[in-house]
Amino acid sequence: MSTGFFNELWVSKMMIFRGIYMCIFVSFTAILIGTIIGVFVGLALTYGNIFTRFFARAYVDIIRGIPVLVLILTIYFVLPVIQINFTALQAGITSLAIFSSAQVAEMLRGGLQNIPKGQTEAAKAVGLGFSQTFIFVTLPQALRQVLPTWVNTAVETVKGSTLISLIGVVEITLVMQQIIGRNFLTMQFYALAGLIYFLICYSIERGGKYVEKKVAIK
Amino acid sequence: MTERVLEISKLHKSYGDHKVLNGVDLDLNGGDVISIIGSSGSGKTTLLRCVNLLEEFQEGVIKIDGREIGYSNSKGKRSKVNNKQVTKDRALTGMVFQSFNLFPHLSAAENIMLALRKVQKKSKKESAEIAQHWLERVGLPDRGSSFPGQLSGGQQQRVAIARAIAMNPKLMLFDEVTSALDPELINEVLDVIKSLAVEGMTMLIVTHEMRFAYEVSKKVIFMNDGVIAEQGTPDEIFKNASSERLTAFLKNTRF
Repeated sequence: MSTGFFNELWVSKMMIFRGIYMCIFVSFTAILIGTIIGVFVGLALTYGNIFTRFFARAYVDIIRGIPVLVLILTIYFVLPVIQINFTALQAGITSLAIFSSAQVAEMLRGGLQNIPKGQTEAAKAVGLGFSQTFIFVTLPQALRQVLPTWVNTAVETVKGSTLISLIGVVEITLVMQQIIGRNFLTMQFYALAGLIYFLICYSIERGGKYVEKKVAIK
Repeated sequence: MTERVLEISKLHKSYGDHKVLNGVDLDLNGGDVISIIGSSGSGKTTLLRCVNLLEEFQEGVIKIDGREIGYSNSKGKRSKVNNKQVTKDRALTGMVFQSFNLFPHLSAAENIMLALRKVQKKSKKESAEIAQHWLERVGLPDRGSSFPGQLSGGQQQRVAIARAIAMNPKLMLFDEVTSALDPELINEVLDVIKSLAVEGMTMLIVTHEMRFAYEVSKKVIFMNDGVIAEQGTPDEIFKNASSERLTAFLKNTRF
């Protein structure tokens, strides 16, 4: 049995590598895009006027209230109705990016609002303008505060990427299903999938902890 | 004749219905040190924050070096100047806060250098030299690389003073700068301020340290209910208090 497993593993190694690559590629791209969108939405939530605040708030609340799977299915199956046709891969990345952007926006708002008012006043008092105050005083402090939660979102996004197997993106989960469909080694290959996900997420967490320590305020 | 640095006239400020400043007039000449005393809620901190344009005010004019700051009056119509100008006007004064407000993610030297580089566009080298000069001046020559969290309250406040004065302001504003300090750390901060006074820095000081106000000031102002209730030389205020309110206030304070 176990020789059978290793034999199967050897035979499917390229498939598995491609699955891992796909998982990391999708997650990384989604987190990157999601973070960029999230920073702008977070800024709108914190400093926007009543209208931008309203729309940013609605965006964040709606996205955070929808399961990632529903988001994925909506973008892949419903958007074509209004002539927006994404490939499965594009739909997967887009939905995960939207998911993480809402998390990033909310955590950045919290981080920025947690910074004592005295910080912006001191920045003003030495003559820094609004954007300088943001770039050099509030953002560096907010990012440090937000880092642990951001790492958490990155991990959630990696785990969420399993769901895009349902629209046919060949990432780790779907690769495993295909392999199992061929050799019926259900337990072994699902366990392997779990192990791979664990290693990816654990590395992200360790990396986050390392950076956190590096940039900690003394 | 020394030039007039600060001119405040008929300053009114209220939060909704609550009047905080009710017509304050005050002048400072170059090199003057004026202390403001008074019970909490009398408007003294608000007055300082108006001069630094951290607070808006509804009526009155504040002039620095003869030019109105924060607002403009044309054809009798008063309007706020744009944000850019507010930032420029604000740079004319240096402010030191009760709670230090150092930037915790920057070292002591970087705290001082930030605005020198980003506002005054000085080179890194020149900013570092200025920072070191002022760190030495406040008695912390070898703490430039320390972070605020590694400094005592008194040391933090001295860095904050260095940060404000390194920008070369026309006027320094001190807002109860020793109120958050442990008693044994108060003097090191007051000594720095005194030495700046001796050097001729123009200063407006809100304080609860009566002996310090007595020693350092050319003039002392007693504020009550949003107005200047009494003003005079330190001797006039502390030794020959005439009004009932001032006498009562002084009775309740340590000297």
